[in-house]
Amino acid sequence: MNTVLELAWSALLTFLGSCAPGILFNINRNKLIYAGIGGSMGWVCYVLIQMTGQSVYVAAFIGSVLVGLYSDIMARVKKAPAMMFYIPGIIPLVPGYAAYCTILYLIQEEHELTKTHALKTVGLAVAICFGLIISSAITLWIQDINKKRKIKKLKREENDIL
Amino acid sequence: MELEKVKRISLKAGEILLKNGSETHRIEETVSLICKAYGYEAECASLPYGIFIEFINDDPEKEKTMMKKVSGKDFDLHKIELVNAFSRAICKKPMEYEEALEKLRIIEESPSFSVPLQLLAAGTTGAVYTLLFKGSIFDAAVAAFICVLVQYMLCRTKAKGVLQYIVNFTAGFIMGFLALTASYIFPALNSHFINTGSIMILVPGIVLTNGIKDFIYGHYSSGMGKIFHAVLIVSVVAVGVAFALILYGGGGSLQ
Repeated sequence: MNTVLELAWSALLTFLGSCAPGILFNINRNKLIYAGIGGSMGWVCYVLIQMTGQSVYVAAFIGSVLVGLYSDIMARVKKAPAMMFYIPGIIPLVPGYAAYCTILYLIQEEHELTKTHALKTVGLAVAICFGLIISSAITLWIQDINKKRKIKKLKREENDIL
Repeated sequence: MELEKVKRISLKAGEILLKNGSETHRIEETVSLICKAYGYEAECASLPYGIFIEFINDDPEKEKTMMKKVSGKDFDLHKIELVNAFSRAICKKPMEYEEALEKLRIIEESPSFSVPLQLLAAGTTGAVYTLLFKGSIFDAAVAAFICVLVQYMLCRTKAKGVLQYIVNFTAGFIMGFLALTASYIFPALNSHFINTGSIMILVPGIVLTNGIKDFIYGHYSSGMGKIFHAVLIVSVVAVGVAFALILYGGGGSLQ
């Protein structure tokens, strides 16, 4: 029960944490909510996958794939560029804590810990980046299939007329 | 419509997109779609600092290439959305020259959120991420205060045209310094949670994600530029925080 509450609380926090940077990026008022939902979806997915015992990197990867796919779907629904949803949505997944630890341990000359956290930061960044790549690859693939289907349909109609 | 007029409309739209940090493939698509709507076939190539457009014609005498240099960056996603809607409208039904230019002018001058609201948003961001990283409610309050201050500084320096890296360095330094001072005065506060929370408003989200997208679509030069720009901003902020930490003798242990 406690974990559920905690998850709901962090979902609410990340919702706000995606809406508020959305205001800083000047996203249209009536799309802020959808940006926030994307952010909290990505975060909840990130936490849930970590609970199943997977590594942080897998969790961040799947979280960012989810955010990417969600933003592409919302772009079609709301007729707005997809970036209005994935830029705020990705922010909760940004490895701010690991990056800060890297600086902190670098200053304190704890080189082993610096290495660990620097690698963690880079790993998370790459995981998020790869997640975005995979999600847009999926979208492009679906677009391609749709386009081919349309062309086939047109050809068939032409043949029927002939 | 004459080629010159079409050129001006499409390049203006492209310029707004490039200025506000759009992905490169969106710029190129928008420019060539607008030209297509007016009955010209055109190719567009966008670089980080300018847009090239080539009107294709079977007659080599009539083939024309134009370029527009774009300087200055000002990230505003709302303008990108408006230009997107504009090009959609033009593809459905081409507008008159004056009407199109007027619409683009309105888009360029479209307002952003008011400064108090931006300050509020920055404060919320700082507080929320402090809480998310397991900071206490007092840490969150301090982070919100620091973020409001830093956002105010960012708003003020934006108009003055100070070098962005200097601004980000100063912002990082102020954040670290204020957080450490607060936790020095009130030992119950944890400066590390305050710092991690408030740094989130300086994350260069637009540049980083659009840089990745540029790479996916094969625009390596703009993608590289954007990603490197983001990495530089992050490192400059990190150096700023590091200066504050050094000033306070390492900042103490994490727990």
